[in-house]
Amino acid sequence: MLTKHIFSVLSYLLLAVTALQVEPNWEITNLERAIDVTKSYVKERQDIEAINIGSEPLDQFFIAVPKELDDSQAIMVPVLKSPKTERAFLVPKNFTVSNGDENVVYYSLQLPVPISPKSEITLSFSLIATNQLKPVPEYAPLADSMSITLESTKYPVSPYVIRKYAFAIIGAVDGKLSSDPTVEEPMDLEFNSKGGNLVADPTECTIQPNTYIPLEISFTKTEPLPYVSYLQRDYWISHWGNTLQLEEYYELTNKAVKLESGFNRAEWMNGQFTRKISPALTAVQIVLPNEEVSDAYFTDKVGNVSTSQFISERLVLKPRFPIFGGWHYNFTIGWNHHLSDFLKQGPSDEYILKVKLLDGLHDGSYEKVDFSVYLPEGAEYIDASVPFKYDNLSVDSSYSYLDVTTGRPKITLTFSNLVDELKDADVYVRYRYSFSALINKPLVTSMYVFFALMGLYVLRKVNVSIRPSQWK
Amino acid sequence: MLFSVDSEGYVRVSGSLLAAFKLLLETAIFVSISFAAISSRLFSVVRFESIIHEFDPWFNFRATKYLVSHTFYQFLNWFDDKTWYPLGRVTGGTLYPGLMVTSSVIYELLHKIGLPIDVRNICVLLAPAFSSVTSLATYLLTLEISDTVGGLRHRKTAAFFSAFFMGIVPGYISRSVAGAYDNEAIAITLLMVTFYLWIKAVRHGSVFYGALTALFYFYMVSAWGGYVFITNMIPLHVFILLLMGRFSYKLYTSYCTWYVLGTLMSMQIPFVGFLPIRSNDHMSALGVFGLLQLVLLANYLKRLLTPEKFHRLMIALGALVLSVGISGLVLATKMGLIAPWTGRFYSLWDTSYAKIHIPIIASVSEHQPTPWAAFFFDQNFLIWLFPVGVFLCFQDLSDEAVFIIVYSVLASYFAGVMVRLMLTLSPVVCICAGLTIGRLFGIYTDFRESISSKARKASGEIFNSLSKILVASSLLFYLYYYVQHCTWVNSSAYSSPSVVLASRNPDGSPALIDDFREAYYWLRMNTAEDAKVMAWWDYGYQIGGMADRTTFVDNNTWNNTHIAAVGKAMAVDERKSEVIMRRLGVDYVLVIFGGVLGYSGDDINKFLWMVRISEGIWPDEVTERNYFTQGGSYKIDDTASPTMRNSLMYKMSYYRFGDLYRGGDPVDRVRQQKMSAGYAESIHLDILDEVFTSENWIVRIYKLKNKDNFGRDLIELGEQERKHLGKKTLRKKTRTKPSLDLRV
Repeated sequence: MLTKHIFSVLSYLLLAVTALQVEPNWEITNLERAIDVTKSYVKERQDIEAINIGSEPLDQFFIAVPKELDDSQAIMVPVLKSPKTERAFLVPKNFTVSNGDENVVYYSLQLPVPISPKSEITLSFSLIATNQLKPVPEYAPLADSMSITLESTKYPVSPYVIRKYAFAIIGAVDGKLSSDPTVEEPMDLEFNSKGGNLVADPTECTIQPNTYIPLEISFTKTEPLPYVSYLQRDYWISHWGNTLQLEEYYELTNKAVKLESGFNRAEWMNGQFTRKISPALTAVQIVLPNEEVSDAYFTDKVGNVSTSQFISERLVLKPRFPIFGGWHYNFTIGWNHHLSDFLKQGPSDEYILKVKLLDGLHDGSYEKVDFSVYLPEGAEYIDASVPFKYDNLSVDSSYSYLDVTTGRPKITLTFSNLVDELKDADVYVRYRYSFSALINKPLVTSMYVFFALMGLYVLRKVNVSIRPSQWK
Repeated sequence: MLFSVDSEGYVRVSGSLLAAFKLLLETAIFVSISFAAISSRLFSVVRFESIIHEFDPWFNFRATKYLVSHTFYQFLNWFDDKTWYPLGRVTGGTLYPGLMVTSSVIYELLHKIGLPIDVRNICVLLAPAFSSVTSLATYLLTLEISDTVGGLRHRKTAAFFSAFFMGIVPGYISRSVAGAYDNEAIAITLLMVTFYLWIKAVRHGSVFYGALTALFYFYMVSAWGGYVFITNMIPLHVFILLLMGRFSYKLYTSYCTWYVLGTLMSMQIPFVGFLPIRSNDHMSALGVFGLLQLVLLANYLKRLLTPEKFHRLMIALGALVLSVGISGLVLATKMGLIAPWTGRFYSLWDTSYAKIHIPIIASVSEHQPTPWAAFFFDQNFLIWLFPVGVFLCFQDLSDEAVFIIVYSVLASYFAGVMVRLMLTLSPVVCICAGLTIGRLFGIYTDFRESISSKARKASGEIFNSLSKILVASSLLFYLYYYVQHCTWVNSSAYSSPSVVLASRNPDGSPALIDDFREAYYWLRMNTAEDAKVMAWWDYGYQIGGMADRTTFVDNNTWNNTHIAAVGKAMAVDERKSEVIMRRLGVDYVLVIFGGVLGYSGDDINKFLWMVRISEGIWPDEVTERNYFTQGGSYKIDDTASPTMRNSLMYKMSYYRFGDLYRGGDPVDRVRQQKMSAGYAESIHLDILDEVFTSENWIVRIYKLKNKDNFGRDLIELGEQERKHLGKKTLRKKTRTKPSLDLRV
């Protein structure tokens, strides 16, 4: 307890130390900002051109993210575009700023090379945040579209002065913007709509540091908002069968508009909603990997769902019922791969397995993901690598078919807040599996069978009769 | 040398090779019979999936899952608060645990040896696995019988035939297809094993076999309520042997061993408890036990006394025992020591009893009397071989043959009374048919005489062997036909899970109608975990098993009043129903409606049973006659009687039914009745909200509306709204009236 106390005090002290002022020694000469709402989550991208207006070389640049966006961020990728260096991807570090705005969170970016005064840099910074699209009103009658609201800011929040600004909102059909008219604005932002997008062309301006003006974007959306609150993704390795089995358990909901009254099947049938895209989720599309897939199945807790079908590289799953906003549907899917497509043999009985982090939905976000790899019994886990932050890595053992000795090593990686766009990330698992371990299982199994048969034979020889043995 | 060629040119094979070959052949036959028995039960798995069937198996499955995840004592003390809301059910004490214990033992065993097979798959495949054991037990039993029945040259032939018949007889398959996870699945196996051991015990007078019989009897008691059949069969067998003057110490030993051990063991099952000494079903066993002691005493006295004295003593003793026995029985019944005769028992003797007095028993289709065609359907040509087999038993009245005769008489009677008891008839039919076919084949496939060189010269021998060939080939044809019939029956009649329905797309490709699971899964996913679902009792187990929600009534019909209360809530009008449902604590109401698809097992067709059962409790409030039209027909269209129209069940079934036809006249495809569009539109519901309807409308789920915030009456509110809406739509209609141009 005491150590914990000391630790918390120490961390406070540390925070106090890092709570620094941001020096206004950069000036942003051009900022182009885009918010993409075509998917079920929000993607924001800023392209920043900045110039060092200070007198000393600088190797730090600060960016700011609105708080509610930061709370639900799935991923944030700042990239340094010029000057070109070997380490273009920058690592954002959380930073407490004493002279900043309380609605935003600041990150410091460590530039790989110091930038001399009067020099320019070009940065791009993208961020994906889940849970931002809110259907308004929350409840509505059955319809083929819904209205969505997104809370954002009218101007990018930055600790530096911005001299030129362009803003585009992509995928906002019938988009409407509203902000507090009483607030004095730094510039006159004019939007024109271009085929579902709202665009404000680059305009010269002066936006003072830490300008925070909330903006409400409302638009119409026809697609559902799939949301996986839990995904359990299991890979099973079998060297004997040369198979890599995948099984995924989904807890799926739809965050779209909820039904005002109960589900009226007659209206649903008359409106032919099964044939068109509507906020109700009638089919889940699983993008299949490029490798060969066999024996795919789709079940849920009450048995097989017979309505899945393959349509050109995609597994189209039709849930038992249309999933309206707020409805849930849990299901399990799985298929087999050839293990050799995913496994590389290294030196001295070492193997490296390379699998994808996600296959899953083609549009959707994941709240919690448990990613597990079951190595064959007798294998020895060495390490795993993921190009991505994970919450936890655990190694334990589990027993499955014909595991009678030590059980299979099971490696579990826990992730939170992922989106479908991260599915190309690869997970590497390295393990050692010797030939003796490979041969061990059939030997042990046949030994047990042999003992069982021997036991039977011995039992047959035992005479349990209580009749006196015959005279000889 | 295993074989040699002797001087005459004959091949001589050594005895050990022949014995080994015989063993191999026998094993091969058993493996084939098992294979046939198991594979013919897998139609449903191949055609649909590995799924639990029908209704009761869902409860057994749920109980098994509970047992697997808890300890055995927790299982015995299981109080299930998810059924019979708000009463709950002491499930551990009111079920036969044998089935669940069997599968959980198999489950644990397989887990121990590194085969972690899912509980569901064990439950689904338990019945086929046990069916192969049944045919093995039938083989052994028939072997015991054919040992004592003369005229069988190859006694094993008869046994093999009966095992083969048993493996695929439809009367047994009807209850043991993959997925039919019911008590009968293992009970028939146990029945055959118990009978086999009993016959063995009687033959040898062995305490060992008597005790084994008792052990398997105990297993049977733990598995199925039909154990009473054994409890009465064995005493009856002994009693008849006594009447035939066949008292022997062998009989005495085996019966006393079985009765004492078996009764004590059976009382260990919580659900059975003290029934073996209180219920009338068990009295015959006790009576025969007493009688045996008296006969033993008489036998002893007979040796001591002169015949004259013995005769007089016997008459006096007989009268005394009879009067004491009868008066004791009457007295105990009057004092309530002995359970009264149950309704199910009466309906065994008087088939129309249930229809008049206990609608809840009569409403179950498997309690109906058997139609004649069912005998042929379920037994095929065995049904006419059966009497021949019984005749063969009469020819050589050994103790074991008497058992078969007693069994066949009892089982034939019961099979005639109730459809489901065809199941207990099937084994004896198979045994008798096996005996017959064995005998016939023994005679008509014996061509040794015609082959031997001496007989070849006799002219009559050709006709003799011709007739033999004719008979043998016709028998072979019947055997072939039997296999074909069985396969056809299994595939077409007994392999539907009834949870999933097979159908065809417009282009002829097979399609599945999965409405039940669709709706149950919706309940499971999208309602509160403690939501209470009201449905007719048929669906109780399925809702518990698949939707995992609390139910009010289910297929365990122990509380007639509670079932009647649910029936009444469905049968009365909305205002009265709301009171009942609020009192019961209903959240959701589930109805089965087949009118769109033409699914005839729906709730409107079962509705009269709900009315009858609730009428039995509340005759003043529900009257069956009011649900019929003036002319006495059961109508659901515009001419439906006012009581019918106002009943909640009717409204729930046809609410928004008209909308589906977009202004056309809706047609109920089950009852082939047409409503007018205007009438269909006028069907309204004020106390319930439609929350879910499955794809083909088979399952419709409604939610009981919350009470109005301002304390207003829901029905009045609905009426006001309709009045308001009526004006609006009237206006709309007049506005959008199309201009009629004259077509000249």
